[in-house]
Amino acid sequence: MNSSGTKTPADDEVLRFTFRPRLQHPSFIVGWASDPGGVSRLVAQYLVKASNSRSFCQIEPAGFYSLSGVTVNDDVAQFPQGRFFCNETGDVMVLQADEPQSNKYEFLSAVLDLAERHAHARALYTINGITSLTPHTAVRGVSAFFNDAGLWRRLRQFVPANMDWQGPPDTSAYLLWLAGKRGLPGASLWVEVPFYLSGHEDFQSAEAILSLLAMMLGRDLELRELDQLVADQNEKLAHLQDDPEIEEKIRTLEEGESLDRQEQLELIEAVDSALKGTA
Amino acid sequence: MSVRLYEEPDLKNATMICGWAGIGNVGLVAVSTLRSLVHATELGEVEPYGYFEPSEVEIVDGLIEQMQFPTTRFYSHQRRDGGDLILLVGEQQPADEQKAYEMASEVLDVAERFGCRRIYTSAASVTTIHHMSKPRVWTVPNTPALLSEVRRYGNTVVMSEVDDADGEGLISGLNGLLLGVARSRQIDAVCLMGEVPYYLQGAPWPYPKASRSVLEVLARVLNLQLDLSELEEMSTKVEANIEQILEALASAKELPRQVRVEMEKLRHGVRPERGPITEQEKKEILEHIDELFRDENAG
Repeated sequence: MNSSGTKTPADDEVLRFTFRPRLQHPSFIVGWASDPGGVSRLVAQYLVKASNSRSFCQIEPAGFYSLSGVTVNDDVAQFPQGRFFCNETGDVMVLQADEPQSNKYEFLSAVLDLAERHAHARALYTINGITSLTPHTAVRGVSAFFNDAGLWRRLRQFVPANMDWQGPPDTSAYLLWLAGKRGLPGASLWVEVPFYLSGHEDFQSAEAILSLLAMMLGRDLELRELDQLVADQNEKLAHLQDDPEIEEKIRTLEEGESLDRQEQLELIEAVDSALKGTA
Repeated sequence: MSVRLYEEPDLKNATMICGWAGIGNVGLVAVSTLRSLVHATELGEVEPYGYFEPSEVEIVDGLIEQMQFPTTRFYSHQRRDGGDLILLVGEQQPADEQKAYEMASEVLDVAERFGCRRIYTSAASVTTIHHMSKPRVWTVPNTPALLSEVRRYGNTVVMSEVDDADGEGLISGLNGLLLGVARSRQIDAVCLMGEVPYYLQGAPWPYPKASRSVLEVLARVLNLQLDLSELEEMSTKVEANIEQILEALASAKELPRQVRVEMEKLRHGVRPERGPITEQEKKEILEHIDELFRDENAG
């Protein structure tokens, strides 16, 4: 703590290690808990599981999240977390975290302290879903932006579209910019999520990002389990298209046309019912 | 969090004048105008990281080009006859009070580094003044020894001269906090608050008339010759906006009778009495005006 009581990146109390792994200049992947389609969380979870990673450090929540109580989701009490994982060989490191509600700079600085000082990470990747009018039947579009021209030149061949954007930055952009100031190269990967899937887990979007990451990192990722989840979800959505009105709406989106607000709401409701198994 | 200074001028007998964004941007506009009029040069800045979140990112063809933050910049102005100035223009105040305290401390570190003997902050006081009237400047020093001095500034009032205030009040935000932190360091400081009509406290535009009143006081105190005609032009434009808003309100159908009476008084330049308008009526007027401002912003 500094004189005013504000947490600073220098605070050892912010990072709680359970053990100190030998990290070999890992690729560092950041997955946030809440984004459209749950893509960021799904990708981080999948990487942790696929690489047999173990948690080795947590970010203390005090100062970053509201601790006035806990939220309850799906009958279960939730608690915000920021947890680091690494695999046995120490070349992959994953952060699964709720985005900080306050003291964002201090939170992101603590993340980068670990990446820089403890892990000597080679590059940072953030994952985000972005709500889109693309239908679930289309290939998910992926775009990216970088904080480093060298990494951008090396990886641009894998990214179908480079982003242009001017406006308020999200947490990933802020993290990437701070990383760039420290000389840690990074990329923020964005995948389209059909708007009617943004409140659900969009496995296909997660798979699109994982496939891209596999190419960027030069690793083989076993995606069979995810393939099955994508197939199951698509099957449920295909049943939904038996309804001619839904089919018409999906076709409209496939033709690149938009839906009015009421039509969008109807589609969202239909998909909600179908994916909850109540249709 | 830290301060970055671009140069170390040899300032003599310096006074620091601070203005942060706030109601009517009274302080911000006053100090920005002063900076421009005296051609003050950039001295340094309080680094924004930790105080503020970034306001805008620019990404071009897949590369982050720049990240923008609200700025808190120092400027300096050296005068031939001594009495140099350090000006601080803060585009935003930290939302967190601990961080506001820390920023106040960093600003005072700069003041002490350059030997400032006096600090002025500039802000708004929300009162029942009419927008056609000349705003007075509510003046609060951080030590009793300054009271007799500030009473002589002209067009100023101290808190004990304000109806019902009985010498008491609250200066929220950094403009107030800086006074307190300065007091604890035994640095003399005075807050100058230009009056803003209560019905304009939520307006999306500045209230330059109050900034002008503040600058007039500062000009007298610091013996500065300031051409304030630009502020006068801004004031005229803002007054035209206010008249439009009041016309729009007057044509609103669902307006409580007493509120309509008060609005008519405002339209016709009658200064509201403190008595007749109740807190409830004041709240209703504010709600109606805030609604109009929201519509204007949305549109």
